[in-house]
Amino acid sequence: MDNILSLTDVKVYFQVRKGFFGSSDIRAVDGVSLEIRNGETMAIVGESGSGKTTLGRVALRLLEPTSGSIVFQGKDISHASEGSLGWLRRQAQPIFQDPYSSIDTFMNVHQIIEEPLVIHKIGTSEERRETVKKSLRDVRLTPEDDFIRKYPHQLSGGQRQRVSMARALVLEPKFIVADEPVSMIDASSRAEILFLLKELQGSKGISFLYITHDIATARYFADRIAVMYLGRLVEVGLPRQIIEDPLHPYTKALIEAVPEADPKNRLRERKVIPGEPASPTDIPSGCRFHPRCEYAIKGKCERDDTYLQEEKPDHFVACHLY
Amino acid sequence: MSTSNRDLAKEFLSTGSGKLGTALFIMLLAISVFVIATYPLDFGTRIWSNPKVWEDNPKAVPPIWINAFDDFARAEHRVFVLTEPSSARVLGGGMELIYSFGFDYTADEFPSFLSFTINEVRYFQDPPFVTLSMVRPDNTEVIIYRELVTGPRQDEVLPIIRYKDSPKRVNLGGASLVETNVARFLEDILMRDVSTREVEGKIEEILLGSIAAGEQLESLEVLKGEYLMRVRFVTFDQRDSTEGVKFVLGGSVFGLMGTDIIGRDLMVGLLYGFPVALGIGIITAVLTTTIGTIGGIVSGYVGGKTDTALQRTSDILSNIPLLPLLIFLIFILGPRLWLVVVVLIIFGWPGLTIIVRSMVLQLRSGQSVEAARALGASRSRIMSKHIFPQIAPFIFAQMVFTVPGAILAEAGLSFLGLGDPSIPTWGQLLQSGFTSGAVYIGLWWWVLPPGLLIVLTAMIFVFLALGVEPVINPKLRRVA
Amino acid sequence: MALFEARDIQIHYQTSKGIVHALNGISFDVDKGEAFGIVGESGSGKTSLALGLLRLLPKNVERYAGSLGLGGEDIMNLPENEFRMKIRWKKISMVFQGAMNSLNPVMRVGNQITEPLREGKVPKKDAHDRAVRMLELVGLSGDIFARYPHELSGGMKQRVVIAMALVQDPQLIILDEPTSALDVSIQAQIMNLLKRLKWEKKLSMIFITHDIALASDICDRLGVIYAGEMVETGSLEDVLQRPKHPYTQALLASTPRLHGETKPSFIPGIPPSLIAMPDGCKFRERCPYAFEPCDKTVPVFATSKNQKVQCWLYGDIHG
Repeated sequence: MDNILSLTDVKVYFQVRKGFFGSSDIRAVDGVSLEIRNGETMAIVGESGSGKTTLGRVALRLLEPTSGSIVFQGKDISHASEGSLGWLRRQAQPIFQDPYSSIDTFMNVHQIIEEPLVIHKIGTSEERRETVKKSLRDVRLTPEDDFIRKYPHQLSGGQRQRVSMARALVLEPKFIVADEPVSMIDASSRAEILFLLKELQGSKGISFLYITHDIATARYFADRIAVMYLGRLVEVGLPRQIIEDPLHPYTKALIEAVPEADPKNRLRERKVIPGEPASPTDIPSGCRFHPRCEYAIKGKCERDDTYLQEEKPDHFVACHLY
Repeated sequence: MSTSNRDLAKEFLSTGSGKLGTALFIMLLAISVFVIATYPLDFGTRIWSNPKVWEDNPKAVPPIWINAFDDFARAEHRVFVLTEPSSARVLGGGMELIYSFGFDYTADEFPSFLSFTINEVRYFQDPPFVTLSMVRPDNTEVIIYRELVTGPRQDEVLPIIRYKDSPKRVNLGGASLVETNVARFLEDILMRDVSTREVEGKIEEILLGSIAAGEQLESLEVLKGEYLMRVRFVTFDQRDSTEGVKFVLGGSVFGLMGTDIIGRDLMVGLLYGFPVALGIGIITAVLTTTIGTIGGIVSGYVGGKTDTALQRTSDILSNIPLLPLLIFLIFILGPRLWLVVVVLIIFGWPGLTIIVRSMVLQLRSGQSVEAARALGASRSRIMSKHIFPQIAPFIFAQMVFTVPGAILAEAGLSFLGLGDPSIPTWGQLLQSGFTSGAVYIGLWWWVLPPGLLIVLTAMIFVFLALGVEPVINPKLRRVA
Repeated sequence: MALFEARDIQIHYQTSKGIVHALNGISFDVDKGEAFGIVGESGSGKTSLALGLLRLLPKNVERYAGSLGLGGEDIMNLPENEFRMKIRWKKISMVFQGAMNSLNPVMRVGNQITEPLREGKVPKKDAHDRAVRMLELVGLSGDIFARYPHELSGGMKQRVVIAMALVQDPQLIILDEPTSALDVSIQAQIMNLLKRLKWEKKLSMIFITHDIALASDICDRLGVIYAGEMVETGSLEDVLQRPKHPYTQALLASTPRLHGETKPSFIPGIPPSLIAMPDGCKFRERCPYAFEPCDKTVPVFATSKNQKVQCWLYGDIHG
């Protein structure tokens, strides 16, 4: 079995009350099919409202999908009960975005990292202490004896994020969903964290689902990139393909919008996608990007929905232009 | 955010409020521990509510130290207990036992009462004969009291025991025997006829008053000086014995805090109130807070039907009127202190639940809780180890805040007559004071101290709470 | 003569753990119509600088010294009420970090824009008209005036915040991380707006950010701030393409790039504590070029007419 995770037409809808009697759906994830191979890092790039965070959570079964199937290591976990997912928790872990709210401030580093072992009743107190120290070494928080006793408020954002990573790694999972792990960390420290993640991936053979809005870090870290818009994947391919040869108009606009350290930038305006992203409660008909697309084909794009097609080897796009 | 516990404690003690509150609280604790260690467990029923214990105390008199405020020398309360006779000699078939003692009377006023008590008498043939006489500073002598110990009944087994469980107490001021003797004494001095009616109610004044021929009995002056008292026991069998006698000069002041209308030493009662108040306050606060917190966390985190059930229960309890229910329960079960505490707890927890629930609703969607779920933590683990610690400082502050409320509630309920009259809480003292009319007669020492103590104790906890506040709310912390 | 001159700004805070030396002698100029970027990590002191320029520092500030000149006039020593009436929000205004989340949720957006005008006793109708003009200036339609913040998207809220800062036609606007909470595409829109405002209205700006690539999108000159000191200032080209200070070089090298082959590197270690400040150069512990004089206080050296560096590598070692 080559794929660690297989999502097939997964939909996650949330119900919201509208007025007295009505309710409407927030279609956070609206039909996503994706396969992540063993040892691979798949990046999901999208903006707010794209549904990428929800996708990450449903991949870990922290949410139940409204429809579609999720198969992890060959087992269907789509609708398994919470109680039966203990094994999953040891195989799949998240790393969250906010290093300030994802770890408890009243526990010290040792307690935070030890907790997964305590929950799953692994090892004696002595053994756990050793495991915690080893995991601190893995994330380069040394000398370990110094850090073990510290509380989160005594650590910097980058250090906290590494504690968060250590906690995720201590159960030796095979799959990690990293949701914007560096976006709340200073630009100069981001590379360090990503480097660490890459190193850990190599040494432990972990597969990653890397969720971000920052394509530049996706390029550095991921083996494949999937671009998400309003609950659907619009383009999937290798980083080189996505960045040098973007096919979907949305991808093109995203690439264009990223600032680069180039002195000429300040003398001209960037090309921007007009308007705001549509809301997941009110999804446009046909191709959901058509209201903002400069290449929209009249008649077709507002009527017919789009689906991912392999346009070039390993490069998929959902667009009527192709 | 969260700092180590030692830092929090330092923060707390750095405020004036925290320091003052802690110091006073330690004093409260010390007094309470002392009381618990020295008072018997059934103090309330066996001692406080037992009038016999307080028989020989002056009734409704102020504390001794008011003497310091004016020049008037008040009548001191003096108790003489004699267990061994001062002299004994054989007389006929029995003995003559003499118990004698003297005192120097220097007060500017008369004693509030005089009492004479005989303790346990055993005799084998005929009952002994008891005489009480007094030699005054002006060398006059009065035979005050003469009586035969109660005789034997048919079929009684020897030795005959009298006055063992209930010692024979005579209030000299009200005994007709005494009146007769005193009248006769006056006749000798005044050289005229004196009827018992004339001496009624004036026994103390006559016995210790300066009387000369022609004196009016209405306004007697105190005869200061040495008095000698003699109790003469005449027995008819040498085996006869007695445990002794007691003679009391009732003072017009007594003790450190005075007495109430039954003569109870208010100092004793007030001291007893310390651990009771602390106990009621802390037990109520701890239990109310615990139940309310657990309810709020479970309600907020588990949600669903559990939440609805807890919320509705909360609503119902909040809407039941407290006082009528308490009156009803007391009517059925009798006035009990624990009943008051239980009622306070049952109706106290819903308020906290609602607040805790809304805090938990917010925390529930936090990333650290989500991370714990992703790690596979069970719900109970998340509630106790991830949610509770985040609200713990707030809960602690709530607990401290609740204590004065509980103390005041109990005091109020007792004052309304819904408390347990056998146990002297401060509220009870206030209640008995008011119903006895102490306020109208001006018995300030009865009502002011318990009221002040209630307020002060409540304030100590408010100081503590004010000291705790900046610790839980970082914005209120002093800088440097 | 520059429009705005800051010399030797120092800001220290009193905390329960000691004195935090947030800024230790920052100097820079801003010309008219120019955008000056201040680039630094979190904790470098850049937000303190922004607040300090408008005298919005918290109560526990223990030292606030230096000189500030606007249009040639000293504004550091102006009495408080003069500063409030003449400078704050009139000649200098600010877009705070996270401002779009600090809009008053129960007040209509238009009223929040007109608030400073009505304080200055401008008649209601005039204030209304001006607010509508401001909304159009920032690319929103005039009827946004009546909306509440929760009805607007992130990008629209940020435009409102910019309108609020511009309502009294300031000469200088300070922006502290104006796009940090926004999506990339919205960020691009806002940056376009700021560029247009700069070109059309000759607006002078101080643009504060941790993202050097973002700063290069609009700034003409850059100042790099580290541990409370301005370690390098210069034109955009000079700083981006010929960075002198080791920190600037490391900062540029550590930013992941979209194009190009080089992998980003990273700076090991963490910035020094602002309470127990080490002597000499604050970057010494993490600097690959640290050498003997680095433990002595570093003066600022001018390596060319417009470029200044605070680094012993460029100075007279014996001076």
